[in-house]
Amino acid sequence: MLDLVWLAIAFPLIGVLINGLFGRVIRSKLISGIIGCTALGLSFAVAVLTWLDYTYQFWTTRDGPYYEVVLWPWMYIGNLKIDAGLLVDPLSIVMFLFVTGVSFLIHIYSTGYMAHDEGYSRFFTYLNLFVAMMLILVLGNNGAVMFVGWEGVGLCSYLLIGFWYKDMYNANCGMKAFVVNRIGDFGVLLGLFMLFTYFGSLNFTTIFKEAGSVLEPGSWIPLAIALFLFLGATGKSAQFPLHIWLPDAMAGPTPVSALIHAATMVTAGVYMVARLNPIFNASPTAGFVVALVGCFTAFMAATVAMTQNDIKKVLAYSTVSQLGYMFLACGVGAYWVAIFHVVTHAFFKACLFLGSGSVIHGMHEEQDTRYMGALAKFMPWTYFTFLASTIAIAGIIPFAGFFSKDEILWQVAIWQTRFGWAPTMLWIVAALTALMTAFYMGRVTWKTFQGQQRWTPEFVEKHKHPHESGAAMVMPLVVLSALAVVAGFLLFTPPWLGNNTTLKDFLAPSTANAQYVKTHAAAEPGQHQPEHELPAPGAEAASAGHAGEHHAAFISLGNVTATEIAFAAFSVLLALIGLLVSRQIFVNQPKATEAWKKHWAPAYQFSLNKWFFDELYHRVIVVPGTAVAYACWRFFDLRIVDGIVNGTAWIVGVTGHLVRPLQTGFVRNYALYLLLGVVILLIFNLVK
Amino acid sequence: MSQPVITLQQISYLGPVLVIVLTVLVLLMTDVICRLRPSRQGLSLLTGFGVALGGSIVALVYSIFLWHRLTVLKVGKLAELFPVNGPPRSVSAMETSPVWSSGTLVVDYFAVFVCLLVCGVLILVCFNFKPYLRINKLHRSELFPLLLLSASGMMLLSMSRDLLSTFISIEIVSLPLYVLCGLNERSRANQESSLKYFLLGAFGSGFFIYGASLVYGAVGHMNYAAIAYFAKHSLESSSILMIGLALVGAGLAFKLALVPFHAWVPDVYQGAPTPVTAFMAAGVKLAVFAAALRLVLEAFPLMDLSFWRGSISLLAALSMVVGNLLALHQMSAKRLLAYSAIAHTGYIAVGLASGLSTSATSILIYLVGYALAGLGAFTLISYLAPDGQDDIYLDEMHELSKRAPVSALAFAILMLSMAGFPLTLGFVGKLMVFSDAWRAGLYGLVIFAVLNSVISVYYYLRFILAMYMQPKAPGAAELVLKRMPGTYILTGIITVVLTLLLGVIPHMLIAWAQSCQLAGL
Amino acid sequence: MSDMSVVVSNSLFLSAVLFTIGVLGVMIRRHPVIIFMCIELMLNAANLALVAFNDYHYSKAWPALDGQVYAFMVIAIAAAEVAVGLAIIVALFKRRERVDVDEINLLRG
Repeated sequence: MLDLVWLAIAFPLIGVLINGLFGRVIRSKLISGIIGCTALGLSFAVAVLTWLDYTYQFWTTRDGPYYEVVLWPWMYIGNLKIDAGLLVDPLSIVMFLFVTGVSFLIHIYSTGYMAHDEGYSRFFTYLNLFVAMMLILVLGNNGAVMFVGWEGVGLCSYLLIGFWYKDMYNANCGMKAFVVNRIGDFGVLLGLFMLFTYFGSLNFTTIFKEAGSVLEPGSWIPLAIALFLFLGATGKSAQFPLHIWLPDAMAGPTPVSALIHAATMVTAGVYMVARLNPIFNASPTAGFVVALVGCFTAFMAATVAMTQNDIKKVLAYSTVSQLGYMFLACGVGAYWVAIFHVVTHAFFKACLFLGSGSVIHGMHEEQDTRYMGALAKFMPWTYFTFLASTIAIAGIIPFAGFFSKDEILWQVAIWQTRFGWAPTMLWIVAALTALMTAFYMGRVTWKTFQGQQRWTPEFVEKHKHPHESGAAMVMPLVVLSALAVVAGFLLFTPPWLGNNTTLKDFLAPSTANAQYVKTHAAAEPGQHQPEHELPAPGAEAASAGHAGEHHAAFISLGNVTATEIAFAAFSVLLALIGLLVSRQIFVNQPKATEAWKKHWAPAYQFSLNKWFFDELYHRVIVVPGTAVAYACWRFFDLRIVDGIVNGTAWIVGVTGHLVRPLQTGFVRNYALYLLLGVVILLIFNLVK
Repeated sequence: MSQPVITLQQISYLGPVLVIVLTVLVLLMTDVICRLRPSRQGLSLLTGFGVALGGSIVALVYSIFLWHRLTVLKVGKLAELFPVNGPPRSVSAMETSPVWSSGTLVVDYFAVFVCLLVCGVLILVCFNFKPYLRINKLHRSELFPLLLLSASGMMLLSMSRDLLSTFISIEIVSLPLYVLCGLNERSRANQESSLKYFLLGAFGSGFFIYGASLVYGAVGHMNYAAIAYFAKHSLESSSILMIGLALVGAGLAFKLALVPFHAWVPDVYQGAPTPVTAFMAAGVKLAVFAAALRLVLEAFPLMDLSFWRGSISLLAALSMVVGNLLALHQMSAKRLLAYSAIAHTGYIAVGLASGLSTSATSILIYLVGYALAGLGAFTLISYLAPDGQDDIYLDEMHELSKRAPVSALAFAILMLSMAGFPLTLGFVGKLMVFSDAWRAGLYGLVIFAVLNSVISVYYYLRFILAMYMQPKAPGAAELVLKRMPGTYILTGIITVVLTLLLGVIPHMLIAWAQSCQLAGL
Repeated sequence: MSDMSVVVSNSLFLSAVLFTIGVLGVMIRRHPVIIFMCIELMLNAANLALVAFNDYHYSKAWPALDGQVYAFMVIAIAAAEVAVGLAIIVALFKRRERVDVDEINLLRG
């Protein structure tokens, strides 16, 4: 099966061809949908078979083999040899499985969600093309192939955000996403150039093998490569300072937000960092930057999410925040934890987005949570799946989010770095973010499904009450929420809770760090052993006490198990506080807050328009948090970051206008330019 | 070096050029015969098209044959003659290695490859002209001989290794083009473009030939090998040589349209008939870059690096930034592509500045990609252009994806290729040129170039945005779409399919272009 | 030999002056025919330089007349340029009464 991996890419492409070329001819939505879903179903089947085949060999040989499937020689130029090839190793298999699986579910959901849309076959064409590109990204065996997928998913995202292009705003959002992403792509390209310069190859396996000998740890070369690549990752994965496109990307249809802007594409940056971990390992400073940026983004996005009213905007900022967690994990060297969180996040966030799509569908295109409320009664399936995912993302044991998020926090706590203050700081901020996460997710859930009905009169008049979505939409929700519940403890549990290390063992060959290589001594041949010590993963932490000699860690490695339990209990406590406080406020005491509000808020005039929820926690609930949240949203996000990005575009644009008059149309002026050029050349050549 | 008597075998190496020139003679004769009666005007156009196409195809086949013959003849020595990553070039190697050379012309793989590409461009442009003349009601059968003459100049340009023959070839390329730009004497834009091109082109040639005479004064010869030899053996650098080479460089930069020698490009490209614009964008750029490559790789290698590398890098950087900035706000598709052509010249000049032995390969690949995208795009423009306008404005393209989905898709693919999107030939070319420059140590220039290609994406996307995502403005004129003429369809299919195919599996093209080492290397 | 080099250097000086006049003429004049004549002046400056340099390089050991042959070729090219150029300008005359390059700027920006 391993040599037939390319079939997984071929099936969606066939779907693209059929729906793209004959979509107008087919005219039947049923057939278009069936083609789109079948392509993905087959693709998922290939993924499962590949996984089974690989696992069999993995368990029989007990060392992580990797398989390269070379399809054809792509570019052979001098000593640059690039094959169009695929790499099958644990990391790519994990990505492969969940990308095809989640995509399959979302395709099924889309048949229901897009049922009334005229661009039905066009939608499935783009969606299939996206999956094909995503698989190229994930499975590529070298930087160039990965870059093909990287650009391809960007293009599809652009096309899908602007899918309802009749509205100019949507088209512009697509444009913005694409342009911001190109800034990141610039970084990826330069990173690839540098990789090629120093390794003479873009093949991942070559890079893994030779990273130890080529890159001098701590020198500027791995630092520059890592930072260039990370610039690309910030663009694709919406990290500060390039995060601004993701909230706008919500202009696309909701299944697109679920698939591309929550579950798969935006995690490509995390995947790339994890994939090229030898480069990041070789530069502690780069890792530090990654962790810092990730942590800051997580915090900032969480604060912003607390103030949003649009249900999709909340989820968008929440995605940015969760991606920040993943980068934090990458930054501290726990790549497998990052991938773990990628997977669990894909489940619960896709479920949340699809749930919000179901809500929007049921509320007839209403996205504002201020005009929802008490939907649980009318949309029970949507409510329970949404609730399960909310609990998962908040991190309540034993839901999936608990295991991955708690492990990230733990890895931060035991991170050994020469930046002594960093683990403490990062841990505190990350824990605070966890609290906020529980709070804003609770808020959006309660506001949408509980409390009073706040539907617009027009809505009530027209539709009476919301309706539950059809089976095609509910079924994926159920599957995803089930996964959001069980995926955590099936894949990994901490040592004090059963010590299930399935995912960790599986991923270890791809994301090996020093500790793993030492303990198992059977690393995949393609893995290098980084020269410097890396943080010990939680399970082996006790035996690795010596590693902290010259490093400062947040906690001392004494009684590890007790500490770890305490940490876990603390984070569950935070999550519970967040959820319960938000419930108390948004379900039980909206009236009280209103009265309180009347007393205090100068902006109360707006509270008649149900602005009081925002005002409430601007002023009362999270006193330090609100100020920061408001500042982040108002000044930081809109003014500074948007300002810088838009300002750059503005400067380029204005310069374009300024140079135009030079093109006068007069022959004699042109001759003058020519003479000017001659003078420049003469001066350049004669005066050294 | 040269033998006093030219043998038939030697002449046969110039086959493609001779075929084209012979075709021109035949065309002139048939044209006269067909025009004996005024009622036969239509016939004269058809004959002209047929003969020109036939001649181009024969020349194409001849080039392939020549390629084969070079391979067969030199197969035993190829490895030592053209080592890919061999020792640095030296003058002695230069004197022994040419495949066939007179003093002034050399026929090597590189030249034959360029001949082949020129023939391909010529065929596609002929395809373009046939419906173009009919639609615009032009009865100008003399354009075919002019077109072919210009193409023969391009072939000679790729073979010249001597400043004078380079000059003559450039003139053979340019003189017919001046006339072709003014093809439609009724159109003011045509006339203006023709006059501007002519005056500025002649001005540029003046610099070139004066510079060549100064080089002659310093070296005593115009041969590239002699220049290289002189530069190596003269102890102090001669300022006359430097001035001369600067002026020669200015002349070439004018033809390449590097900033600040670029000013003619937008006006001429916009004003000229669209197929002529396509020919200039695809053919002239190809041939002049071939000449510039030969100059840089054969005459400069022994010189102080900073001399030519610095100035080429400067001009490349200027071209990229000015071309991109000016393209941002254009509404006319032809003018926008003209500015983007300036930017592309800048990217290719980055490869020129790297001056490695692999530069020829990378630049050829880039040029093939650019020529395909340019030819296809201009073909679609002349198809979509409203009557009498010979150009299309971006706001007229709104909702094109609904009205002409296939054309819109083709146009989008070609624009993505120009923007350097992966899986298209444009990406392969950019990657190769930039990685050459990176290996040559031009880090700053590469970073600058990549940044610029990021900017350029913006205006290529404007096309896609217009076609796919912008609703028609309420007052906008309705675009009248005619049935697409067969030869346009053919050109479109060829360019799009090759752009994609060679983008996905370019290794054959690369392998082919890789053997295109210059004889002098 | 010494008066020989005086001739050479004088001719070169003259050619430089001619070239400069040509360049300035292109910059200053507005009638296309005059501009074109100035360009011809530049080409002739090149011819003069070629012939003069040939004299300078000529020796018993290397009795080549390359420069003079080059000059003839340049003359031929110049003649071809004249033919094309005048035709273009005449075609322009047919459409407008006054021909001034500063009035020809339909295409710009």
